[in-house]
Parts: sequence; structure tokens; C-alpha cells
Amino acid sequence: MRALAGGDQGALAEIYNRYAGAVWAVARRVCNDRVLAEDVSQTVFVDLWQRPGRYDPARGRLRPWLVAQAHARAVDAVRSESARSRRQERDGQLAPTTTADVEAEVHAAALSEDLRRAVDGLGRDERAAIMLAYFGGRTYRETAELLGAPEGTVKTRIRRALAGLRQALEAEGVTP
Amino acid sequence: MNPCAHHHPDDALAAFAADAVDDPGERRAIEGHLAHCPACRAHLATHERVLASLVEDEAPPSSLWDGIAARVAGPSLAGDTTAPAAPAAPANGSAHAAPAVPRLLAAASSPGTPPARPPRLVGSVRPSAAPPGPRRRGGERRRPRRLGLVAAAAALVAAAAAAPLAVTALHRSGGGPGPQVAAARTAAVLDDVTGRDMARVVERGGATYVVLDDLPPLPADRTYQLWSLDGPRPASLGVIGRGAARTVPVTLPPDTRRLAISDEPAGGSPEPTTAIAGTGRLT
Repeated sequence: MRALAGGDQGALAEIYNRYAGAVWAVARRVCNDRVLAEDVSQTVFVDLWQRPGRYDPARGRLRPWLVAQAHARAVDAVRSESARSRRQERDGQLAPTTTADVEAEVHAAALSEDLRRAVDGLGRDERAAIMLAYFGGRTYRETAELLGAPEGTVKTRIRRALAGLRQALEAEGVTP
Repeated sequence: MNPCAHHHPDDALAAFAADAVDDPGERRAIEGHLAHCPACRAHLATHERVLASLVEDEAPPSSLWDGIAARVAGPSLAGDTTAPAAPAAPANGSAHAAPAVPRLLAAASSPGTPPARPPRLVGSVRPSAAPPGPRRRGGERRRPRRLGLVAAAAALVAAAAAAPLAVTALHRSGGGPGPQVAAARTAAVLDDVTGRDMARVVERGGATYVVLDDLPPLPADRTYQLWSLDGPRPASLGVIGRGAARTVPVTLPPDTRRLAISDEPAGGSPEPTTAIAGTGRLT
């Protein structure tokens, strides 16, 4: 990171090599659109290059931070009106009868086996809330509407899901 | 002791960590609190770590680095000399700033030969010069967690022996160690509603093939069927087997652009009777 702050392009290339897979993965999952996901992923690295000081190593490792940056940008992208209409057109074309539960399960189904186990260990309500909010890019208000639950309840479910996932991942030897 | 327990911060912070709070006032309140509450900042970082654990690395499209290089430094970084390469990979005189995976593969097969420039992006479909990752082989979907690009490259090199068609673009040179096969071009990637790649259309030596990357084998009374979505209704382009053979030769009408695959009764159907498994656009 020091090399990056000093304008070392090789440092950016190394960071890209390590973390482009994670940045791309979260952008693609949330955007559900490769062109949009590519733009989001590029912006994350360009932003890191231009403002490396935004990352504070004392706060945690670079991967979760970059994933959080990519997620926030991906969510912004899909919430913009034009992107939303594109996504709806695409969703509508392929899955006209998708319900919130199915959408949540689709996101969970895309996970690998060990992560799936962790997610499956959550209660149904918690699983739906975190999948819709995180991978679906929905706000807690939208999630509440989709699930027919009060907004406060959805926030609680997201918090419980995160706690449950942390526990499950730790039990599998992954320390998040 | 959580200093902000009096206003239910845990729930708000969890939703904030998942980017599920979009109300500007609500965001400002949380951000204002975070600015002076180290405990909540640490809490947020924990949430972010848990969420990042749900994200499994995927090989990015080869065009991704090109775009970054162009935006960061213009042509100098977009040129070959400073393109990302893992420390173990020798610089190879390529005129193309390939990202790590294709570059490592190119280095592994024939140093000094430029990797194929990936076809341009069209719509939301990713034409790719890179072969699929290990999860797409033989219906195996489990991926190593946090697959590093170097590990991915090693896996892909290993995959070369199993799926020569998929990696032919990497073995175009005459002198390299890999198998000597004609160059293939990925003309389309068909992905499902979640964006997962299901199949590719590959062109090689004037012939066209559908490669079933991630479609499960079907029972004997079912088959996959290929459709053109260019007209007002899906038009059948023929059945492509039940997934036992991974690579199926097909004949596409010259102006075919949008493709889809569905799961149909053996022998095929006049129009799709099940949900479309994957769609893609030819380049």
C-alpha cells in the first residue's frame, strides 16, 4: 500500500492480481450484468490508485475492504434508474414469476458447498433477508416489502444472519 | 460495552454493512456515529469481513485490467510492460496487457507469443479468451474458497489436458509445449439468470460447437435444445444432447445473434416448454 501511495504501478498490478477475483465476483453477482460489473470493478481499482489513503490498514485487511467498496458501488449502479430497468427487463425475460423466496434461494444456490452449508444453517427468514439485501442489492425497505415483514424486523434479521454466518464460518475454520 | 446501544445500533449497523440503508438521512446518522465510535467501526469491519467471506473469487474477464490500465495511466500502463503478472511469470513481449491468468497460461504454453486479444464485449455477455475455471468441468460446481489467480492459472493449465477445445486459444504458437490444435474462438457465453456461465459457443476451423460448461446431465428422456431468440418467437436450432457429451457440433444460420438453451423432452419441442436455462449473444 505504501508503494501504491508512492505511485508505483506495479503495486497496483499486484493488488489487482490478488483481489480482482473477489472484486469482480461481488460486482458481477450484485449487478447481474457483466458490462456494469466491469465498470464497477474498474472504478474500485482506479479509485484505490487515485486515493489510496481511503484504506486504513488499522481497520482490517484489504480484501474485505475492497469487497465492501465493490459492493457499495455495485449497489449504487443497480439502484440507478437506467440500470434498474435493464435488470428488470432481463429478469422479466428469464424469470417472470420470481418471488422473493425464489430470488433469495437463487442467490444462495450460487454459493459453493461450504458456504452454502453456512447459509443453510441460518433460519429461513434470516437467509432470505441477507441474500436479498447483500447479493440482491435490495434496501432493507425493499427487502421488507418483498418479504412482507416490518422494516425493523428485516434489519434484525440481517444482523442475526451476520452473527449466524460468523459463527458458522468460524466453526468451519474460517475466521471472518 | 457498546457505546451506542441506546438506539439499536446493531441492527442499523448490520443493514448499513450490507449496503441496505439507502436513506441519506439515515446513512448520515450512522456515518456520523461511526466517525467518533471506534467500537462501532470495529463492529462494522467485522460485518464486512463476514460478508466478504460470502464472496468467492471468480476469474475476471481479461478486458478488466485493460480498462483499469487505460483509466489509471493512459497508454503507458496499458502497454505490455507493466501489466499485472504474478512474480513467477516471466515478462513475455506481448503487445497486449493480458491479466494474470491468460498471461500465466501463455507463459506456460509458449513464451514470446502474444495471447489472443479477447473479443469485444457485447451487451451483458462475456466473450472470453480464457478457459472456464475448474468448477465448470464435469458438472463440478464446488470451487476452492478464495481461489487465488495463481492457483486458478495452475488449475487451468491442469485443465488443458482434459479439455483441449477450451484452451486452444492459448496454444496457437508453433513451438510451445502444449497440444497443437487449431485456434478456437469463443463466440458467445450463455449464462443463467444469476449470471453463472452455463455454456459457450466456440468456433474452430470453420465449425461451430456448443460447449456445455455447467449444465447438469439430464435423464434419458430429456434433452437440451438450442434456440434462436432473434425472431418474435424462439426458433429451434436443434437438440444438443442431454449433457453427456460436453462439446456438441451445431450449425447456426448466418445471422443468428441471440441464443438460448432449455431442457426439453427427448427429441425436442417446437417451442421451449421449460424455463430457459441460459441465454447469450453471438459476437
